[in-house]
Amino acid sequence: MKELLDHLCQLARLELSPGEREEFARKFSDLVGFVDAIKELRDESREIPLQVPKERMDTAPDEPREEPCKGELPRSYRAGHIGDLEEGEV
Amino acid sequence: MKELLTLTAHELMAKFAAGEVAPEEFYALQMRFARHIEPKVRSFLTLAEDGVSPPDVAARDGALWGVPVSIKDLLTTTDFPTTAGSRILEGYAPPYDATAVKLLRDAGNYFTGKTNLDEFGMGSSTENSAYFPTHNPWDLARVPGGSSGGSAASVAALQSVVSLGTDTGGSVRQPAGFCGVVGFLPTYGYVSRNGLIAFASSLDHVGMLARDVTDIALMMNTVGRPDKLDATSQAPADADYLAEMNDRESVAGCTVGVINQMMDPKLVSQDVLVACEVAIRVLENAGCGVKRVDLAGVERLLPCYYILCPAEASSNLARYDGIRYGAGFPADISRTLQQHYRAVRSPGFGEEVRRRILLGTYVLSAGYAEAYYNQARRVRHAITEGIAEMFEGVDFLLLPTSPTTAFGLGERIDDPVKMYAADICTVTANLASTPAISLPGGLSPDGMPIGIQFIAPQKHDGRLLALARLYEEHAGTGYSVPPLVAEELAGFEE
Amino acid sequence: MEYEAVIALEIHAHLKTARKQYCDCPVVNTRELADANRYVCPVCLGHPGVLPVLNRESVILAMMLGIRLHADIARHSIFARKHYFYPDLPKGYQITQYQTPLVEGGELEFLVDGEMRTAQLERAHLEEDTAKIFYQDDGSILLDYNRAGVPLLEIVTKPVFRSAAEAVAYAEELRQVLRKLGVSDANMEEGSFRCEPNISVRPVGSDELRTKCEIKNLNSFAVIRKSLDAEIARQIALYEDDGEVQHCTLRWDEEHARTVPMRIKETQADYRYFDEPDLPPLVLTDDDFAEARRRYESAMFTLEWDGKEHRFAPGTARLTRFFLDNTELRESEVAVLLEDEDALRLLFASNEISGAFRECANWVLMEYRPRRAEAEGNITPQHIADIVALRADAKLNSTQAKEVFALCFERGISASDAVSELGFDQVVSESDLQEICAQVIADNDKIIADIRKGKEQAVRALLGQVMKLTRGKAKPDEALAELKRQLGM
Repeated sequence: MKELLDHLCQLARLELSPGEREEFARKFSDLVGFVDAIKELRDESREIPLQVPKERMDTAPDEPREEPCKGELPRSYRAGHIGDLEEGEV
Repeated sequence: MKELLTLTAHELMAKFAAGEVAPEEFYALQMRFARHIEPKVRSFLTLAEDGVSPPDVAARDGALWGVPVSIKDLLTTTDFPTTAGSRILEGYAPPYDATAVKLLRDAGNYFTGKTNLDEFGMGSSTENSAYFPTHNPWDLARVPGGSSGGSAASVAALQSVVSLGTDTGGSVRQPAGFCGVVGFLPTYGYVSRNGLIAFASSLDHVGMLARDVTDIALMMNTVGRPDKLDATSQAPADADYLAEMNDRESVAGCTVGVINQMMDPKLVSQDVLVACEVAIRVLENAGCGVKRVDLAGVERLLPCYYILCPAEASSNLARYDGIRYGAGFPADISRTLQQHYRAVRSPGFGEEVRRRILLGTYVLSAGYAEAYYNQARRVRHAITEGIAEMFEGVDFLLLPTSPTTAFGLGERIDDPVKMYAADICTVTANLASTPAISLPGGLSPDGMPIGIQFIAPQKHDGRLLALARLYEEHAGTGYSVPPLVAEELAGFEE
Repeated sequence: MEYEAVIALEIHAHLKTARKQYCDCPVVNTRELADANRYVCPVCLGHPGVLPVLNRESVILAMMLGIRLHADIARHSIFARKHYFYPDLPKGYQITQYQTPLVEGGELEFLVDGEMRTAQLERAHLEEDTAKIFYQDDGSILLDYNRAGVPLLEIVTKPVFRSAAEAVAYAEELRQVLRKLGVSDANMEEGSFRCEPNISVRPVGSDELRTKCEIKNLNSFAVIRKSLDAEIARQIALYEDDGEVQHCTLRWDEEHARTVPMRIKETQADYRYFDEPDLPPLVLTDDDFAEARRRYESAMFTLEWDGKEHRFAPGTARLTRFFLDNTELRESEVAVLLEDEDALRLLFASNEISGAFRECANWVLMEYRPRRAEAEGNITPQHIADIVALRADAKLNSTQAKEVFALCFERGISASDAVSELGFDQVVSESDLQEICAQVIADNDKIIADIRKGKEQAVRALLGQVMKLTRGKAKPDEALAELKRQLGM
């Protein structure tokens, strides 16, 4: 369970503090046990049905907004460190 | 004048129309009382300040013209910060209004503020708010339910006439039941999700809370409109929910199915069962047929819900990575990118949110997606079909809103599985994308409200309101002012 | 051992739409930091609560490519979320198509050294572009979201190419197809056409698929070719050394002319795809198909040749083959003409009148195109046909013909008017010629001295001066004879 949690934390970019790890792992394990009931269902149908009760989407015409976007949006976004961009997996 | 605070929206509008009170006058009164009782209930994350963005109350054609509305802090607003009850969005000022908010604004409604909730809607008690818990106006030691706990409390505690909430697995109906008000979940796509901060997109609905069914119909007439900004929107363009609610013909002699599995004493408390049996007799007296029906796979409802919901949540919450949202902006360039992600996300999300993100990541990850996520989607499909089949034999379904009345603050917070059990009666409607409503069904012997829930087939929203109105008239258990609030009102000096 | 390469190409092309894929921001390709984040809105910035609404135009454009490739176009397709964390990805996931691409299969013919080949395609699907990263000297990065949400078509081949040349030839052909269809500007420099090859090598004759590597961030066809050649060599050397190829993502190191692995470990990538709940299925109607078909057909190239009408699907391979088979044009010339439709149409129209295809081609390629690069000009097919005829009848020498062309280009007057305006139709009289020759002899003592010393070829220098003084109107053989007569040669 600890290894699984570490892997999931890595994928989700989260970390657990040493103090909360044990408690978290216990509750998480309860949860996994709780949803495991779903695995007992043997549904072999290959098709995975739609989630949303609308059978086709409405698309938008190719008409851009003419006015600049309302509401205040910052124009400058700064982030990260170049040397580290490649670090870690995608 | 303060007795006006206990009125429903349509009663209040009659006073506006008669010139007995002006909307701006009532709004000022509303805000004074909201602030007066707020330290006890704590419904709001942000309370409107005096003079904040008065709506154009001259636009008198709005269905709820001039009525003060509170808004769950999961819906974006341009005039209030929007936090989703999370630290990660602390101070976030949305550049746009949610469609439902905009429709209310354009219809001449006042906003009382942004109501408290479980972080991102994840919870059934409002205790998962990153800021503070809300208290049940019927008993301050108990939870108001969740996640729209602040909305329900604000309507029950006379801090707002109606409220806009959101419901992913019961988040409008369950707190409505716990607080003794009406909570409505429209058919999926009947109210635009644009501006509803996504939790589980395929299960998220915008819903509403009010003191009676008529106010719900008026809310629907304002916000239940198609929206080009939401590709899943499927609301009829010119529905009149008030007229449909008043169409008694549509429910004359209808049959209501009672789901046996949801009346199981092992699942549902004695008080709630008794209230349901009373509700059944009310319906029979009103001329409805009642039929006992079985819902297969009840034991899979919650596992199915608690797979789909975290899966979508893990995706929807990926954007809070500190690059632009989350406490990190402008990003700290002394950290490596990966350090930055963790440093922003870990403290930004509360325990329950992190738990669900990890669970969602798990059920979608390579090697597990088929066993969990895909299987849960098949189960959801089976549930939807099972419900549709049931509706071949009955017009509506009746079940409790919640297995128990409101539980104590702190009572379940340490046991997520037990907390999730509170959702057993409400998740069905979300999984099946149907409309559902929770109505006050009287009080338990210890004086706590009990919610009675009705479910209708997809797109039968108007007819569901007609049944709810029929029930409301015959039951005589509609909203009453909680004793504690009545006391506060008595001591409130205008 | 002999090895062969196994290459597949993944190409991302910007679709030529006015608005972005999922929001109503205009698509504007900005380059400068000063213009950053001008064309953004809550949707493409991934603000909390926003929802995508698909641009129909991108669907039609993708369908047009599908028709061109003879591919299957899915009447019913769904969108999915692909999850990963990267600063240029606003939502933490990309909305793309996964299990049901809009376009599936298909093939594209392309020419390699004049030989027709066919590439099999895997799929083409709709998705959205990410933000653009600007790298700062202080080590931080700046993000420009003008590009975020620009519609992309990802076009993937099967592993069908056996050499770098083949892969590049296909990519060049696909780029032409996209441009001629009007589906994409397909400009590599501007990033609207991005090519990511993946590659493995195997012994010739084997049909196994070995571990492949992917090369990213290639910004020209020359670089694609160089990097593929280098990577083929690297992998062969590894196998020859009994080594193993490790799956990895590479980039091209221009300075050392080699491929180097990027530090991103993609082996662990787990994109956690699932159906995008915010977008119901895309269901195509008969109207959609009719529109895509109509627009596809209007992009076809029609040509009159030998009194017959020929129609070509948008692209260059078939057309090039046609020119090579039916005209004396070289492949490089065809390539130039296919890039320049005005010139091509001028050539065919001139040839219709003149019938001298090669000569018309020379005028179009050597004179028309360089001048047109400077100014619009007024050249008609009749001009070219007339000038070709004047040259054929020896009415003009080549220098004169160019002057005539220049005047026609500039003023649009007829070739015969230009000839007379330049005086090229006047003949030099015998007496004038005698006088001019005498003058030239008198003015050039030094050359005369050379001739007297036996350097008879020097008389050519005198001829040049005579031609100059007659402004090219003297007949060279007559002028030479007169010079020799006066010099007593």
